[in-house]
Amino acid sequence: MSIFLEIAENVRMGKMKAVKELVQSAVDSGLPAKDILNLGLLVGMNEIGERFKNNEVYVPEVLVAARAMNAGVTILKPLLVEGNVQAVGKVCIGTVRGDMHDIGKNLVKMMMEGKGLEVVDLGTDVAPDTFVNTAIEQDCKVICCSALLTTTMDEMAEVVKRAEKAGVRDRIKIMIGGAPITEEFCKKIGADVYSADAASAADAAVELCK
Amino acid sequence: MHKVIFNGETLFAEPGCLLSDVLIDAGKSVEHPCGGMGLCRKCRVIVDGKEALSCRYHVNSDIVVTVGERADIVSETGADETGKLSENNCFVLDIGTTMLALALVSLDTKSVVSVKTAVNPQRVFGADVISRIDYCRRNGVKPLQTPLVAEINKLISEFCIGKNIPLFVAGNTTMLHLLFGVDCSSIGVSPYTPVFIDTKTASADELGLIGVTEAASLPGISSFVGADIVAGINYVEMPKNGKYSFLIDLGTNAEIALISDGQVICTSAAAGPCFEGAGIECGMSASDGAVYSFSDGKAKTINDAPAKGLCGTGLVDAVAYLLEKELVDDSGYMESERYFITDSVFISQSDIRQYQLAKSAVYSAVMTLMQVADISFDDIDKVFISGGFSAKINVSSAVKTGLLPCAFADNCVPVNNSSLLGAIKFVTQGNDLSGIINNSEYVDLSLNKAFSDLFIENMMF
Repeated sequence: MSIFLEIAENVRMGKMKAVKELVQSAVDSGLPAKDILNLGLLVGMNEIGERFKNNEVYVPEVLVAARAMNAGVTILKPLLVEGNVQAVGKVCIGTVRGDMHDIGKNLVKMMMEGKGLEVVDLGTDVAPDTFVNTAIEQDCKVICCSALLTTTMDEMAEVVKRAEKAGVRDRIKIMIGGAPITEEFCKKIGADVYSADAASAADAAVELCK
Repeated sequence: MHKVIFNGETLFAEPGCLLSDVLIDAGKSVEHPCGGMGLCRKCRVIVDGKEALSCRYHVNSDIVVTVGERADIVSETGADETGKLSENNCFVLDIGTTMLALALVSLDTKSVVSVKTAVNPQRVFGADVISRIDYCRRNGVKPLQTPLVAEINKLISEFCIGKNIPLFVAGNTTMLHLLFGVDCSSIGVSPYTPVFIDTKTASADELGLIGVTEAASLPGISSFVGADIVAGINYVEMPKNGKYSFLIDLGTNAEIALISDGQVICTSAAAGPCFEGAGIECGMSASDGAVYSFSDGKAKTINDAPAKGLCGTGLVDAVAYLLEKELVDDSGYMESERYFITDSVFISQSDIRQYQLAKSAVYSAVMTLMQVADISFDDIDKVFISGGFSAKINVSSAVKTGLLPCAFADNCVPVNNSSLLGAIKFVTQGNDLSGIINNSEYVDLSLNKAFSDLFIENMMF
């Protein structure tokens, strides 16, 4: 088995220690950091993402896989910077104002990182202006909003309005998701993309960053 | 105006308006558990011979709508009824998100004369408190208060007392806001602040109640641990033997209190609607034809009616069965997409996922409270399970599926409607509730790091 496949396999199984060791030995044997990332770590994570989308695995498996992947990414990071490897794109993400739930948001973040995106995590209870200002200041192409409660989902409409007001709607896309969110709601408030699950959200964000 | 012929009755609808709005305005009991989001598919009706969701259907012509008969939800309160009225009486009411229970209580004999129950008419706006809060935020408190008061008046009139007597009310914080006509919007967004939490009284006239002199609510602890839990704690009592008891109310919000002599640590965990049968493909409330028990491959239904769906306790049993037969593995993966437990009732992979979220929320909340109190399972005396769900729950299935810790297998006690029973006890024995209120601590799980780690960990079986 090639070392890339072995890394992917261990990410999928959530074996953090094995991933660390394998990534280190791949680096020591002179393989390019970019290949270790793209052909090893991200392949494993994407496979988990697909299986999550199909309901074959659940939140815990995704989280342990992401933890294993991040252990590998930590080793590669300085080398990727040195090699001037660019992220696929940059997005910011957060749970909307009044809502403290972050499990769904964290899943999306991990899936996005698994696709090679740089993700600015704003946490929970994020004010509309914070989304918009962060996206402008940090040059994010996409704002991702999460909400679990029907009582807080209207905050998303506010994010869209603030982005319009700031005059950045043409260059910053807005993605939304969460238990009560629907395609219909997305259209109604004028957001760009609704995703039903974390893996689809990551795919959509990559598309938007192209 | 378009004509909507609903089960033979003619209603009128503005062109383009939602069928659900027409039905709700006309007081029809088509339920919308997900709050009209088009997600749960429980508001299915037949429009001109075709199936449609009432919350998604826009009326653009004259239509004929039919819907099957809704059976009553079976609800056991657990009160001993004497049937004997005396000179001095009062009413005690529990307003649950799902059910109302009204007891006529004799203050002379300190006993319950009789109890009547009804479905909370607000269910047409959604199954859980969040959907009610959301409706209140969008439409004001009146549309929620009016049908509630009307239903309470109907229950009161069934007792034929002939004179006005006092009414004492327990219920969760949101329900009490809605009874008193107080806007509950602030409960729905962080930091979840209620407008009132202490005892509140109002005259019958103010609220539109008929047959009572005034209404007085019991006090609560927080937005999500209300007077219903305070009453429940009053019912099960603080243990005097140096040990701890749990009071667990299993609903859409699982309210959990860890009680010792002189201290209450409580929380509320978002378990989701699966214990009420919502969010589950074949889910239904506990009414005729609901599978409430499933063991050795045999399904028992409520009133032995033909199986129509699964209620909460049936779901717990069915998941336990699938795990035992290894048709679902530890991670929650199911070999086939669906597993039929009767000819027509099945469990799907996504149902299992819903259950994993719910059971982990409850289990992890229990563990978090024990961590906060710094105690072990040896310190636990009794575990009281309350709620409409409690009487028929199979504790071994609950333990097998990881809804409750194994250590609770032998000390679970079902207490039915502990809110109603505790409020009755308060009225008849004149207990002081301040010992509960003043010594209670609320743990906010959404800010608790230990909880979120446990929540992920315990999702596996």
